[in-house]
Amino acid sequence: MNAQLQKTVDPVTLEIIRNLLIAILDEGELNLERTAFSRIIYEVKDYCFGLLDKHGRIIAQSRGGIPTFMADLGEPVCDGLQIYGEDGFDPGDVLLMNYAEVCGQHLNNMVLYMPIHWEGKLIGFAATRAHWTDVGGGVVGSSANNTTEIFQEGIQLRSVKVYKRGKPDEEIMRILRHNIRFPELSFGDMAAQIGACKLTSARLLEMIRKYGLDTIESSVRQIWDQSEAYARQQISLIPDGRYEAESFLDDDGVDLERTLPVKVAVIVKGDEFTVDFTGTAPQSRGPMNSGRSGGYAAARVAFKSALVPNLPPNDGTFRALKVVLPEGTLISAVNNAPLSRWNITSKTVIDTIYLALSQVIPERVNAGHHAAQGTYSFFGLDRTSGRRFVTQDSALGGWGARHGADGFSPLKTTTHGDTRNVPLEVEELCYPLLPLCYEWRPDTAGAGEFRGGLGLRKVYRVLQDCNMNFAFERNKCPPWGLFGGKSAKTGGVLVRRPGKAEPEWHVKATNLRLEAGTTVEVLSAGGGGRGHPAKRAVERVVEDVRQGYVTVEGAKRDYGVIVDAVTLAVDAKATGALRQRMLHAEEEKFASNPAVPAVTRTVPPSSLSDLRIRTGC
Amino acid sequence: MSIVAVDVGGTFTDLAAVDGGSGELRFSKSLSTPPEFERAALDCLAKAHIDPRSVKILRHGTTVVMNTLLERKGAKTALITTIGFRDVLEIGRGNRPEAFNLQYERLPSFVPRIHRYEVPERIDAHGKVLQALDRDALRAIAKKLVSEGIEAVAVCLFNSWCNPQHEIEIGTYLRAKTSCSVSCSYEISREIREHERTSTSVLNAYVAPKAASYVTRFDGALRKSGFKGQLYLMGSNGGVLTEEDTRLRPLLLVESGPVGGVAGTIEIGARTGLRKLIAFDMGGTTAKAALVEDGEASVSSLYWVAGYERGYPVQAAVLDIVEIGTGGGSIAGVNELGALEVGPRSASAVPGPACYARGGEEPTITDANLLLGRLDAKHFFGGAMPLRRDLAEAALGRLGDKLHQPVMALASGIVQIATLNMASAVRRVSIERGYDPRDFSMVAFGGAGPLHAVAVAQEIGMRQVIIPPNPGHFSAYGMLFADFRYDVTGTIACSLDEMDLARAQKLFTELEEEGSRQLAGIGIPFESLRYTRYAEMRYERQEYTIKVRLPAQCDDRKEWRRLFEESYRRRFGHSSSDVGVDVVVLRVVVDGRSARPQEKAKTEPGTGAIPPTQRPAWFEDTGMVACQVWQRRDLAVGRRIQGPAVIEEEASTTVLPAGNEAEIDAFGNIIITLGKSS
Repeated sequence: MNAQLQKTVDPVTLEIIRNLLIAILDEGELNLERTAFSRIIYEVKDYCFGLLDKHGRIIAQSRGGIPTFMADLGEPVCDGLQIYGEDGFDPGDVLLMNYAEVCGQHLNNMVLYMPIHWEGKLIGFAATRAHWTDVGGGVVGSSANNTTEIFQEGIQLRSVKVYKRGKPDEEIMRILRHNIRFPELSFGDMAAQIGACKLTSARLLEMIRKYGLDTIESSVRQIWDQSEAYARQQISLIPDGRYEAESFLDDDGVDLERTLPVKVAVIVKGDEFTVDFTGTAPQSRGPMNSGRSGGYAAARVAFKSALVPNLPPNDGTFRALKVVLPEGTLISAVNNAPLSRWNITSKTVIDTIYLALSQVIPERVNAGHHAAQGTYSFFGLDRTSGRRFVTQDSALGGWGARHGADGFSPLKTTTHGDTRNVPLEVEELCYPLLPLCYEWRPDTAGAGEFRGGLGLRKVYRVLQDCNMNFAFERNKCPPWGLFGGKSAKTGGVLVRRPGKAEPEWHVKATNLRLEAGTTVEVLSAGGGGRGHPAKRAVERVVEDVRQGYVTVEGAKRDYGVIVDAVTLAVDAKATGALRQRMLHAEEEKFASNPAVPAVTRTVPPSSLSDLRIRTGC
Repeated sequence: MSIVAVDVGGTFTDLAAVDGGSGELRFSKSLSTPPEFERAALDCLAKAHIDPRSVKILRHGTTVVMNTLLERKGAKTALITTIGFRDVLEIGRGNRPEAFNLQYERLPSFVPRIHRYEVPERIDAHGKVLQALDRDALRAIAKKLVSEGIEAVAVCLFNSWCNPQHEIEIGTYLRAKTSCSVSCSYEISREIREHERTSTSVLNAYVAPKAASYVTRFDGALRKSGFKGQLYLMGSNGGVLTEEDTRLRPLLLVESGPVGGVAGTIEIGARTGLRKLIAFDMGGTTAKAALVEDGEASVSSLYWVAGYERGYPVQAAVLDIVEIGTGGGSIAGVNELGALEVGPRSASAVPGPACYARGGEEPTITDANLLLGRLDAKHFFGGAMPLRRDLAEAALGRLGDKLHQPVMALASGIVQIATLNMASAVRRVSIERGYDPRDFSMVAFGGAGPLHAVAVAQEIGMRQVIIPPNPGHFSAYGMLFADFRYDVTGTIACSLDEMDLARAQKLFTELEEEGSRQLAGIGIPFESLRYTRYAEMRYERQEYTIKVRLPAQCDDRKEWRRLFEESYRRRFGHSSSDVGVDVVVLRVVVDGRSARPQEKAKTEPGTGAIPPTQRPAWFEDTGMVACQVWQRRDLAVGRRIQGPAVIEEEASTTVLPAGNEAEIDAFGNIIITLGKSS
């Protein structure tokens, strides 16, 4: 909105405006969720929704939805502003935008936005980004693991007006309808996105009528300033310094031998917080890339969740955050790089920022989480109905141990918010799948004084021939522990074909053919531990054994607790001795190679500033 | 006194009673007496001079189920489930509603893993048995339940929503062979989604022993004092339940309290002929809103105990009530951003608002209302509890210093922010369900409801507000009018085009018979029975269904579709004629109407002669102005009052801003027409 306005709104009116903005976005969000046709929107909540000013700055966003979606909703709209200019929008226009060079995310993430006018002038936009089930391209669902350029991943729309002055453009609709696989779903979703934008626009105009445009604009500016001031205050509580961390991703899906380093330096200086990604892998041939906005979104999610989790995400929240991101990396890819698995990369990038921060604000961040998108989909032709089907979900897994508490499980990843899994009964009813099991995987949590959360095992039998796509991650660099805690067990997919004795182990697959009768085990990773496992209270280890979260063998191997399988009685003497040996061995290992578990050493705060963490992977 | 209603709340126990013969109404109020809740009930009877021997019907709203869950004081509970699925309860849906909170965790399951037992069996999504129930395994589990000292057991099998035969068998066996309280999922929910259904049956099992002993004890204490009538409990779906119902499905009592206000609102609709009403209840800690259309309250089929963010899902019919943390005791403070915030923190009853002089130091909405002249320090609670203006002023002064705001500006700001918060709750029950709240009249009650009702209605653009007599007792009063109501459901799960209409009719008939059987079990004559048929329908591939009301006979597929699309459009603003439609669940609601208590109509003229007093009070549009202060008991039927005015009565105060007119109708309601002045 208008930056030169300097009217100051009193604190009472300001609160009224703030509450109203939240309320109208919540209404729009609920409308979107309840009217969407695709399960990935209404069940998985793979969307976000916000109000932007006429320069594309975030005024306010709804509370649900996906964190990484929220962080850069402005970029796509700014591109539209450059194309059409402020005067190039009419009331009732509806624009679709997934153009890769600007949006930087896989093409499924379709931004739909509508201009909002007051007294004939553009004052802002209502915008939503939602995951469309399919946008064309080489595979059903559009997200393949082995694409090498964006054109294989579907149709790109760059701020295309699909409605002009409230009327659909039938020619563009025909282009769209015949370039995507499930047009009835996506057109239903589009209607839901439009409904949400319309509702919220109408309510914003009601607000303007009652309070006046200048009061609202000034309030928004003050809300931004408040957010900024609070964020800066939180940053200044962190000692100045440069905090580095490094991790890596398994592969890019095409070149399976080469890992992809992720390098992060967090530089805190006064009330400025910089995330420097210099040294992160160059953009990959396979589709693990995101555009620049992907790197920014990761930095923003990490910054907000670690420092200002309660602050609503708006333009002011991120003003004190600077991002240094050279062009052409894994998270700033250019020149039509493939992006379909961008979402896998972002989780590990965010986890690595937390790892860097664990040196200086350990109470605010966790050990590594499962961090696998773990998206998996079954698709094919359903013989019963004679129709094409596709179902997709993503893995729930363990989160890393918290400060003074075990990691929680199961959850989706740090880039997911209020995102639910698909109920198994619904999958069985709708698709030729027979769910057989959904349970914890014992011993998958990274051991520690506080252990990680557990991974899960979900088993299906496929009842008809069909195909599967999936992508797990962090197999070569498992979810790490902190301060002597161990890393977690990793995840992937185990396929048992009828008549074959040996199961197949996969981490990523595209168009994997499954014959009827095949059993598929989807396994997710746990989260990393925190503090040395030999320091975990014996009774907590015994309780984990009693509940079956840790096996008797695991208790001995990982925690040095020797417990009877039947009576759960602990051999105190043997346990004491074993735990002593474990602690001693750890010290020796540290003495011979201090670089590896550097985080276990207590370092005086003054020398923390240049400490460099390498994960043990 | 023939019919008595007792509403036991956290702070107060409220009583309303009506004499079937004379129509005389009585009310009383006592402090609740946990854990011996029956003492306050008996105390209320005594205060209202009611002989327990004269009571024919006693209706009771209780918080025992909710408190048992929130305080985690239920039974030692086990779960029996299909092999492979014992962790479904704990796994949940993997969502993190607090999207940026790295410390997030859900509330822990009520059944630890070690007490979740798997039994080999499997039924598919179409009800076919794929694997027979392993009876040897069941026997072994039953032994284990006994040896582990399990008090209650939930049974929820995979796909039991479409075929409960194995659950029935397990339930029968365990009831015969163990002394555990048994809750099978099919007895509460016949709907798809394994986590939600499992959670529902576990919660039911967890509260069952405690709820049963509560009812026994409450009933026993009444009988000992001479009560010989029938005890009924208020169900969360808005209907009345028998003791027997509550033993089998105690979870249906989870929102027992708020039911009275909604039932009272329905009764007001019946008397005034108003078809569209929003019940608005504001008490000390929260405000609630619920929608009533054509004598029927909006009911939702999924509810969360302890909140959506971290709590437990319940898949059962629960009145669709939106509740927010704004009440008279809500505290105004400065949050970490330096911004003014009202609620959800509450001073509750203890220490209470600063002006109660019970040690509360933080300013509340009540303190703001007092300073603004909207409450009278001397006449609060009929003068039984004088308020301290100086303490309210000091509390607001401390907050004003932090925000650099003068006390009166702050007080009016607090009231305005509270108004907005409550308006958003009213909007949520209406707009987001596809209704335009401007078409509705608001029925406002609770101690603080009438203070804020007109401002909330104005904010939304509503045109009429109704303040019933004795708004502070309205919840108990409403219970006198609730019907017996059963929600019976069956899953059909097929596309509309392929649905066998004869089969649907047959299922409806069966559900109606089932509902009638349940009503017949109550053993009292009903004035009328009403069956309402609904289908839960959706577009194919959607998961959410919407409830579509169907006529008694509907043999035309096109008509089903038309009614679905009409409901869908109203709720969501769009519909598609080229997408297939599924029918998932058929639902029958059976209402048994007993004779309405006939209360004495308010015909006595009041005196009308007593002139109003005057004092300055604050209103949003006018600021502080001199206004008339009326005593409600002095207002005769037909009397009209122009705002600005304040109308006081024993447990409540109605605020009437300028530009609005109030009129007393034949039932003693204050009918406020917004935007009207003569």
